[in-house]
Amino acid sequence: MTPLVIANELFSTTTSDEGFQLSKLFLSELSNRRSYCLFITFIPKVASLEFTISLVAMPSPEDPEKPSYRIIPGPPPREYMAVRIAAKHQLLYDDLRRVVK
Amino acid sequence: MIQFDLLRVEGTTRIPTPVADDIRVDLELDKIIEVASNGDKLIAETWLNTLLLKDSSEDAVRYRQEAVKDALVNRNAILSMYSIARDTLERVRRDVFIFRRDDPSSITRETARGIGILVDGLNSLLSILKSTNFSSKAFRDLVISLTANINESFISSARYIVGMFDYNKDIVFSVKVGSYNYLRDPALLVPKDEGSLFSRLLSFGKEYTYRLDPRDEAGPQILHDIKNWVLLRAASILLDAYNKMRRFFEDLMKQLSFYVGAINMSDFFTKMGLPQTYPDISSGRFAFEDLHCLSLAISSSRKPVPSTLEVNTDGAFAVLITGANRGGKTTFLKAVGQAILLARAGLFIPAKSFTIPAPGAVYTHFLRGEDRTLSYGKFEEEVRRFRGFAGLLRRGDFVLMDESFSSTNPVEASVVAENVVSALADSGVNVFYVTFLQDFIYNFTRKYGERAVLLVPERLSNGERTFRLVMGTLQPGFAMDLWAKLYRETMSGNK
Repeated sequence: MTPLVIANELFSTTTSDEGFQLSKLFLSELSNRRSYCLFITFIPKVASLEFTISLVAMPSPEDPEKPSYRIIPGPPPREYMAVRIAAKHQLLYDDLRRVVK
Repeated sequence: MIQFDLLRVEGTTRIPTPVADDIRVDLELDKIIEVASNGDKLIAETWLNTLLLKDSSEDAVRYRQEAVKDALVNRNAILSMYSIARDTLERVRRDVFIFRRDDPSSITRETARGIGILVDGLNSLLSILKSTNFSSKAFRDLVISLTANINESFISSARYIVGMFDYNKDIVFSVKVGSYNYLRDPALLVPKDEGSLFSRLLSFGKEYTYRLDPRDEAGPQILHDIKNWVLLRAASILLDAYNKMRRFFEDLMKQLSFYVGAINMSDFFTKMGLPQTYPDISSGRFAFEDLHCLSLAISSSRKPVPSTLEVNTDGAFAVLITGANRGGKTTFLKAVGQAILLARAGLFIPAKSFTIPAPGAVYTHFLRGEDRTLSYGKFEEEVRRFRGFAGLLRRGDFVLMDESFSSTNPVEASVVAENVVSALADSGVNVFYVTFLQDFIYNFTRKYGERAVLLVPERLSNGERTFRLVMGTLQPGFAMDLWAKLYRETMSGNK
């Protein structure tokens, strides 16, 4: 019998570099033991590990800032939605440097 | 013209409403104002306006600070002046009815009555000011201006003029009849001293008198119109004087209300045994010793756990506060915010010592509500709220952030937080930020060196929490070490 491990946002209380390292160790360990794992993470690099299948939560087609609750196979998004929102409202570094006198 | 300025807030504006409301709620200013005002609406309004001033200079802070110290030393004089101003205005409100703006005779009578009340108030003020030895420029200037403009002879002549328009007395005036029977040269006459009954008997029958026919209905109306015409100038002068004097009392009461609030607050400090210090302003230094959160002291009716911090940097700094929940992080943030607001208002602080680099304004960006689910919609609301005050920020200001940008996942939020906090620090704005965004903390503290200060809740070796924050350090590799250790233990346990 092959066990299934479900992990939600594991290793999110450390930096994402360390989170990635730990995810890699953890998933490698599971992979070595031939078990399945459903691993929910915000760290995009995890999806590039050789033994993973990447799924992604799609934004709503009508409003990209809302979730569609659909999860489909595919690589992690290339840009962060939060950064896009911040850019839309001019809250990134250069925007603020211009505004603050 | 009596000129005085007890607050030195002229020309400065309040932080605009939606932003000001956030600061008020986030820093629990209502609790502080409630203690200061003790139910007095005017004190509450003045305190809120002064705490939420957009600009404040070092000079203005020192000016008010000196006046607050003075007010606490001469508290009885301040309280009496405030109650004289309040009672005088209350009497005026009750007794003076200018119900017709087009009727000079009622205006002269009513304003004269009002001036009479206001002059009584001035007289009482004067006697207090003369017997009080103020040391601050604010109050000394008030005394100088008031005594230069108001003295006993002013008061007695004002009372005399007011007496001329008393309701129980007739108004005496003269007019001349010019060509074509036009009336000219209207003049109010000083009423003759009625003197004794004997002198009145002697003069009886010596005046020219007139009598109107009882059936003459137009006659009294014409006489009334003539009287109004004569009173026209007097009415406008009296109304002007009345309004100016009333405004003086209103201004005085408003400005004094700030100091009455300070007296009430000082009493609260004494009752709670809170330390009371006046802040220093010293560029390149942000430091305090045993700072208490005032709103927590008020709501819990006990002395909260104090905090101590010292940051010495050229340029702006960012204090990042992280670590376990219920460790006093938000309380720390509130204590700092409240103290800066009190400091720039010229008030005392519940600390042993308190130094700020400049009296910059405080802006807050706190996590709202208990709903901790993540969504881009909520994140956008956070971004919008931040953007709402970003345009007001100036070099030397302070931004207090409580778990900002935590409505999205920590990886993305860290990127935004790094953008925002770096831009603020590089623009000369100081930041206090309670955050769990590990990527941000790691990257920012590495990049900004001494300008980034990391605070964590103190834990004693027995695991007990002290609710104090202490300097923390980055622990790179800690998670990896922990993994390795646990892995080894598990493996050896499995064998």
